[in-house]
Amino acid sequence: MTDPVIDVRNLTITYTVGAGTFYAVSDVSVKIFPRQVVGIVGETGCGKSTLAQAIPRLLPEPPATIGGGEIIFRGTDLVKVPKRQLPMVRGTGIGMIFQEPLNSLNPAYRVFDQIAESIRIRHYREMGWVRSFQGGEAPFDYSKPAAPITVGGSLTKSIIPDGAVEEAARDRLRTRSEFRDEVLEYLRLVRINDPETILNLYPHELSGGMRQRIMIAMALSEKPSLLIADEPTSALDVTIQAQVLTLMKELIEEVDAAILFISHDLGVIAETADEIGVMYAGRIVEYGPVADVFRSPRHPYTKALLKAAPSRYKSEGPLDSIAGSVPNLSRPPPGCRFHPRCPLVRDVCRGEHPPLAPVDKSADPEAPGLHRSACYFAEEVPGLP
Amino acid sequence: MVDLQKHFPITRSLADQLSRRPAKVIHAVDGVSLTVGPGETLGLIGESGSGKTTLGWMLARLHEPTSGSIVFDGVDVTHLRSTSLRTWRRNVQIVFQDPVGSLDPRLRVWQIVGEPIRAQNMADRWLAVNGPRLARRAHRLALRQERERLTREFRAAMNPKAADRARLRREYRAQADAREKLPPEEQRRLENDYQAALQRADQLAAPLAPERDRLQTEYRAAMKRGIGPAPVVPKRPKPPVLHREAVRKKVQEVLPTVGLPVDCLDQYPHEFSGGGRQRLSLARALSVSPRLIVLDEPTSALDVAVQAQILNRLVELQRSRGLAYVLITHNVAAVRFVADRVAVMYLGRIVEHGPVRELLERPVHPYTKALLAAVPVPDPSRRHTRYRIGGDIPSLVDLPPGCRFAPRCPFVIDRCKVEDPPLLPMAGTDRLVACHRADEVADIRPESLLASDTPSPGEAPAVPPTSAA
Repeated sequence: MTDPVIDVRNLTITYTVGAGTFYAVSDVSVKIFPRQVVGIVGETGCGKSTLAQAIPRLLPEPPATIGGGEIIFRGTDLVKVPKRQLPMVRGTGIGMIFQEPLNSLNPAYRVFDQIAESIRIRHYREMGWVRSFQGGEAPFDYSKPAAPITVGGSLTKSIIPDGAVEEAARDRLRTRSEFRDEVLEYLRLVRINDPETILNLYPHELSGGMRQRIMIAMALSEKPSLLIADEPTSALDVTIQAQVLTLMKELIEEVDAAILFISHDLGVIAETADEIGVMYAGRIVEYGPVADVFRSPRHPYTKALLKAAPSRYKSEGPLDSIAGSVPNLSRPPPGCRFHPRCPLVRDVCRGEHPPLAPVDKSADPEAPGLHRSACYFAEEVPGLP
Repeated sequence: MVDLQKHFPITRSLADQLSRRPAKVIHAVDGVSLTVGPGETLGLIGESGSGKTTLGWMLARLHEPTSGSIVFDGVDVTHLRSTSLRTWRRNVQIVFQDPVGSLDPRLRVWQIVGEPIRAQNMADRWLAVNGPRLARRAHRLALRQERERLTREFRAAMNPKAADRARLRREYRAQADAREKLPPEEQRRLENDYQAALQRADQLAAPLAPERDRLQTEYRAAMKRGIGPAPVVPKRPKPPVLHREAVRKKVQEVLPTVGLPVDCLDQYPHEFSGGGRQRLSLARALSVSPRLIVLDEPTSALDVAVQAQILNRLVELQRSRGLAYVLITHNVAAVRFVADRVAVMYLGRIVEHGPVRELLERPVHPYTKALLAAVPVPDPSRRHTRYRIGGDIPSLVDLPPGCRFAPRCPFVIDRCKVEDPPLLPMAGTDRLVACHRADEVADIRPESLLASDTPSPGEAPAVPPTSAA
């Protein structure tokens, strides 16, 4: 059994705004193994983007506070890593693809410079020139020049051979043209036709689909162990979205990275993820292999969400929607957070939030890949209309 | 009754006004004709940049069409101006895509929803006073146009040779750009045709003296007759100004129809969720009881559960009030639920148009197929598929000759690259399709545009490109 790339345990995140406290993420646990794609799906405000940004600690703190839990990335709890060391995790350790490619690319940089910057950072970190994040317990000493990275406990994946540091001295003067080949390679990887021309364009000259591919190329060029894709296709047209999704699916096979895929679109998640987590009001209410969750949802919310996707004509009666509205996260309802809208609600639901327990009671609760549901009456869900 | 027709037979341009270069024009909407009946929903689907929003804005008269006409209830409203435009706006309202950007954050709910009510009230007051003057002016204008038309016809009848030559020259010059793209021999042929036609025009004889006299008498009589006397529009009493309390009362009546509580009159838009804001936009559109609402991506910023609520509400309102909708969206699911008929747009053109169920279940045009195949389905068993239609949308400034979808089309034949297919009715259906190969590709399922998990690069499309003559 390999170790998970990232192991988020009981993570709780709150926002303090004015006098109020918002419980954005409560008691969320996610484990992602190498080469696995985990999808997180949920409505606006359910905390999925907060979760995505909390993992590489990109959340502004304050107003966000990590109230509890651990984010164990390759053996190190990122919650305990001092702020000044955090940039070392990002990029080469955990890569991000954001929703709006136009807002995330620097408008003053050509495509070449955008990608070359990522490659340069990775290159320097591999050479040990820039202080790279070192996992494990060893504290980082900023007063001394950074030592070359050792393989054990290292977060960068490349193995530095003997003499690499001396050799790297020549690389200090690596010129633009020497990065060019590698940049072109990544542009081809994301299936960009005519990469030589694209290199010299600015982001505003590209279409939405192209920009998103540049973002993906940037993220991949740092060779992250974990790639977090936060709504990577929501800003794109369906035909372009289909192209980008196809690309992502192909890259999942080619690139050796675990992926956390965040989306509000059930269709997108169904097409990409191996396992999915359904979030509601800051909690994961259902988690399991994608086929199981879609075929036989075991939480009333998942069931309602799947049914709400409009799939009928006007003459066939109104659409199913979920009665009531998403709770205010500054005053989440006691017990199960879905209980005010739930058709199965009973007294026990108002008491304590149900644990995310395996649907199959006989299974070993610690085993990975189980279908889990946070509902006291999970067996009754398939019987719902 | 709402009977709406729009024709944009020539080019709609936005760019030439900005760049002042008439040579470069963005063909945002190019020759689109549609009708919407009362109580009916027309769905407009297409990718961004297909011109669907521009078309919607033109319908609500937020853009002025470059050419063509919009007929509402039998009245041409294409060139309405000032107050007559403002009073007409009570008939057609628009709900914008971005519920945050389209609501003024400094206004309270009653001010936002009441704004159209107040605007209509002011326009009414102005019209009550100035109506007679406007009617006289409109009559004067119509008379002048009629007389100009009579003079044109009279001159043409008196001198057919010059009139015909002028017509030929006009037509030949209008085609100048198109001719440049043709091969040289074709250009020479057209030039020769033109010269021959000019010579034929020279043969036309002027009418003889008795005929001339008759024409002249008729012309004089028609000029004198004109278009009859000016209509008499009496001055109406000015309606009273709607003050705060009156507006608030009207807003209070509108809010429950969209499912908002009546006690939120003094709240600000930021206090509402995304769905609440979209309801607010809808309430604003409904406040003046329009007959047509242009819905520009009404649910694309919303989650599925909220989207279902809003779509249900839209259908309910349509049933109870006989509203007509034009639903502009790229969301096929929303169109399926709300629309009666669907028009698929690609690069400013309608490529397919038909009843919703028929069109979504049996798309004919390759672009419609591609669009439907690209929609992700929440069904993990369908995931091992590869999307086959590649490429990006070409620029709207330098359009390819021939079919606009040809560069991305899997069924492309040589004819598609040179000849632009017209939107023609398809035999045996209620469908209009703009495709040279409509009959051949009609039976291909959209799913077949998705290759299986074992891709063979460059695999031939289901219909081999050579099978068509």
